[in-house]
Amino acid sequence: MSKPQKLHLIRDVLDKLLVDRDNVPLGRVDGIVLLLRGEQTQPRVVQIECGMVTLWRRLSIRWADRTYRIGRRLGLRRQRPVRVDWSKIDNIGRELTLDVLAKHSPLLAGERWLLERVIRHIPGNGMKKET
Amino acid sequence: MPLALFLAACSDNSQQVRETFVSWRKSLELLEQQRTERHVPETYVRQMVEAATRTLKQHRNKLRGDRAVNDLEAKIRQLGRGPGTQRNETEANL
Amino acid sequence: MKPKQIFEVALGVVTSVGGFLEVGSIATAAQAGAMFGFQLVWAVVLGTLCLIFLIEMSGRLAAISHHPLPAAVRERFGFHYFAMPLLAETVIDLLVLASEIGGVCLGLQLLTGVRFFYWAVPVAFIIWLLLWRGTFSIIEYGVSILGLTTVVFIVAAAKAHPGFHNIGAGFLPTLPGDHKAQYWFLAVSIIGATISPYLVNFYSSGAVEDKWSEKDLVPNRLTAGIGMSFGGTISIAVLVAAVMVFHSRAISIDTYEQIAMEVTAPLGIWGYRIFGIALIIACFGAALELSLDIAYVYAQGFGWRWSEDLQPIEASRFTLVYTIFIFAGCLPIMFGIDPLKLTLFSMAATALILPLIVFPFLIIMNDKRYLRNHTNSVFANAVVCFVILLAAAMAIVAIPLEILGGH
Repeated sequence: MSKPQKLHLIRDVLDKLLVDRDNVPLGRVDGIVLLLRGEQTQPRVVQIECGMVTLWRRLSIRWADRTYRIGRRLGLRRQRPVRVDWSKIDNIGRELTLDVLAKHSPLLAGERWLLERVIRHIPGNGMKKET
Repeated sequence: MPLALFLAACSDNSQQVRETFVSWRKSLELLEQQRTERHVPETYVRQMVEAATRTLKQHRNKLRGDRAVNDLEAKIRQLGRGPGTQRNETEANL
Repeated sequence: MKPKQIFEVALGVVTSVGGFLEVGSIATAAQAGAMFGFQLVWAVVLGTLCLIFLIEMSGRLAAISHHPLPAAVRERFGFHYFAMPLLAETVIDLLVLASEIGGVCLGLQLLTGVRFFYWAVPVAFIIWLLLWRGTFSIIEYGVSILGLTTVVFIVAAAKAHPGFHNIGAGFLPTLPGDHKAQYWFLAVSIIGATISPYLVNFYSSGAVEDKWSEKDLVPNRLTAGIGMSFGGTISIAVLVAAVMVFHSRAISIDTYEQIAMEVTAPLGIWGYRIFGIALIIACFGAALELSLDIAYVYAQGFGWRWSEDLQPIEASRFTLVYTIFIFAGCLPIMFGIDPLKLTLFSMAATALILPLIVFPFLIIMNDKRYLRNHTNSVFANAVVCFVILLAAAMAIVAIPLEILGGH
């Protein structure tokens, strides 16, 4: 595990690219979750958050909540952001390396959904035929 | 004062339309010369005549009875009579 | 330089030309020449010089940091800032893409006689198919080499014997006697058409696709300088040919079809055919780059997997973005919106968003975390400041000039 001693959360973590063990892009750090345990203790970074809802909330909480409610009515289930435990971060450099593999990660659920529902039905998509 | 500005704007607009029609007439004169020299195919002549006709139809009400309108109409008719173009169709469109 | 590097520079110059001249630069230069003679040559020169510096910087950023520009903007400025150029480029790139598709359709109309709006969907489909099945090399080199047909404008301008002293006089700004609003509107449109945001983004993404590194800094500089200069020269040739054919006869450009005559007058029927082919290829290449560019911006901004060399199944969201864009872009043309009016409007609108695109250069190009010891010199920073001020001034006047001076 390789993390610097001193970390500037906004400069070094927020909006940075997340990659898996094989350097496959997983998304970006859209939010950081801090844990507050009482007034006398310092906040602790527990998770990073990825998802459109998190990004929307950074721009406008009111609009994000409205969009979320509209999405629920339209039947969109996968709207909640994906949270990744801070302990899963293997390395913090120019990118943040997670101790996961892309094909199993919930961060790529949207990509997999699109692949299964849309892309694979269009000819010439590069999928190898099963023999 | 507002009326004077409004009238000035209207006359500016008419002047602009007049310049557009004069420019189109000269375009078609150049096109005629190029057709004579066989520098352009008949499909292009048709396209230019159609484009000129569209411009004329769009703006002719702003210059009723103006000489620029008559000159452009005459030029469009003249080009429309060329080989391979539909004379009646051009005149009907005008 | 090694022979391989010289070959790469030559190829880079060719690809720069292929992306430089497109429907916007052709339309604005032809209108400028027809209406104001050589008086707006300075706008092409100014736009080209600014673009050379921006292109060199975006290539240097990609070579040293291996970060394309949109990714660097998101990381350095955060999502609050990134959302602005993202939204702006989404709208403007869509308008410009529609204009480029219109340019291809007009080229096909000129050659076949079939009206341009019938070609909108087939052209969009071919653009999509080339991106779906092609690789970055095919798009970068294949289409761009064919874009050398735009050299027909240089031949047409030379054949008209314009006199170098006349062209030289146009390098210095001079005010016209009348039609001042139209003059400045065209100046803004020419600079907007030249300093295209998509060119800057696409260049840096392409450098990452080609895996540039520190050894590519010199070829990058040469490609930016020579390639963009060559592209600017062709733009000036469009303007000059328009002066010699239209300005002398007091003809102004109201439709795209008229522009063909600036090539047919000096070059005859073959000039007409090559003009049609050049228009198709130049606009087709630009449409490919624009579609890829917007997909790059989204994918890099949101951290998706991206590359034109990946199969669609390996980069689904990246593929979806350009698919949506291409078919949305063909709609205005399909519904018969005049391509020339759309082009002039989108070029002026590009001027509105330029400050958002150029400002990040001032910060990122001086950040040692990205560029190590290859940060900007004082002169380069001065150029960026100048371009930001120019872009801001253009953004302020673009809309009033559109109302006063646009058709």
